[in-house]
Amino acid sequence: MEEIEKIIKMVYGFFKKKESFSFKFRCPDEETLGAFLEGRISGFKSKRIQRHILNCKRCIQVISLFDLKETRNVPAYLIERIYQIIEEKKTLPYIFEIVIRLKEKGLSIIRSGADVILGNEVLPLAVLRSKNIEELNQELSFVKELDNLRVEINLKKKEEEKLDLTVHLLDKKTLEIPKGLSVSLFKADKELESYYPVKSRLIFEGLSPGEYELRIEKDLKELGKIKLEVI
Amino acid sequence: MNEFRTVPKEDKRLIQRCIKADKQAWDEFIKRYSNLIYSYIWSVFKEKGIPVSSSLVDDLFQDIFLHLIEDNFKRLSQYKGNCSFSGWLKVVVINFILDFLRKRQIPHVSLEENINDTEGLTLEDTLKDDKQVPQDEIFLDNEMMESLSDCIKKLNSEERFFVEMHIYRGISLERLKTILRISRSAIDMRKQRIIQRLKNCFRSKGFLLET
Repeated sequence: MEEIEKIIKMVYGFFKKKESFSFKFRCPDEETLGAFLEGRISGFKSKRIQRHILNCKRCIQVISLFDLKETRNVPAYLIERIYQIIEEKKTLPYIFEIVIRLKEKGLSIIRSGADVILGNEVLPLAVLRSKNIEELNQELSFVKELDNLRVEINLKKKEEEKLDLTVHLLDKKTLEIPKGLSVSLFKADKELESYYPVKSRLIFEGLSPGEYELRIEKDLKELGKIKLEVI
Repeated sequence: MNEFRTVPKEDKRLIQRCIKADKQAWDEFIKRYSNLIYSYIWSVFKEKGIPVSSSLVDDLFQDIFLHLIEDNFKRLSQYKGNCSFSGWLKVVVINFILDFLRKRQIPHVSLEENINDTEGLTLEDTLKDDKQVPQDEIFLDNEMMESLSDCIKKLNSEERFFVEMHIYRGISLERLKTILRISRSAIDMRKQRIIQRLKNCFRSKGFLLET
């Protein structure tokens, strides 16, 4: 640093100590500060942030630390721990689980945590069993409520080893599709399809035997998962 | 193309997949960002001149991941894609460590006393608002300082921002040109102009400078 810069630095430090600053604006949020540092903000907004920074010790610290001078490699054991943490966190309990067997003419229910719709009746699986209904028609419907959401799953046998899955989602009170919903179908942790429903009925076609997970989200937050096993 | 022009839309897509707990997306996330998080933890301590043990860095590394994914990925969901994800993440990590340092200090009152369980941290360490600004050998008495301070007062806010960032805080001209969205030659010129202006002002206050 040149002599003159050293003098300016000293004088500026002295000036800062004497000057009393007032905070006119709240700290920009992390994303705004990031965008500012990446030169994505211009004009009046940029000038306003500059004025804020001149008066804010916290923001100035963040900016001073923003450019990394040295990169380090994270040890492998820490990566392993992170995977464990993610694994633990993502396992939200299922809203319900269904295990279905594909039969020659239809479908049979092995296990279900949701009630089964049979005609006009909604019956728990135990009741269904007590009625000796084992193999059902080409189509099965299950229903469960999740807070204000009514979740209905329809399974329809299509070809020999395939079935179609239909999902109905309705707000119990308004009888409309809640805004910001999305539904994704996963198989072995791989996303197969995702929808932002505009109609209450979503169809996932041609599911072959295997384990599936249906994830329902609202505004990118997971509301719940449904496990479906087709054997 | 420099690092600041990555496409936030692509980053946003990856983060959306992470929020859905997509394993492949998390593989990519860890590949791209784990070294960044780890490096920033070390860097914040180093830049602030605070000793830190590797076990504390390990704990903070895990805590940051938890912070990002807890409460159903709430923190990650806050990234909207207005800057690169790495830019957002850097600010989040720095804030996290600064908060950690601030919180660790709350029960302690002594400015000098070393705290056994905080790797030699003192209250004074964490109250420093920035890295050490070394005091220069040049001696200026208070009267002269007062007089020269008038020159700083005369700077407009853009010029003051430049002095604060680059001369006082040591933030690089490269970063400043990005922030201000101007070319490298324009930032060099701005620097020369501000220094010349202050030089002239210092001279007018009777401060003798070598030419």
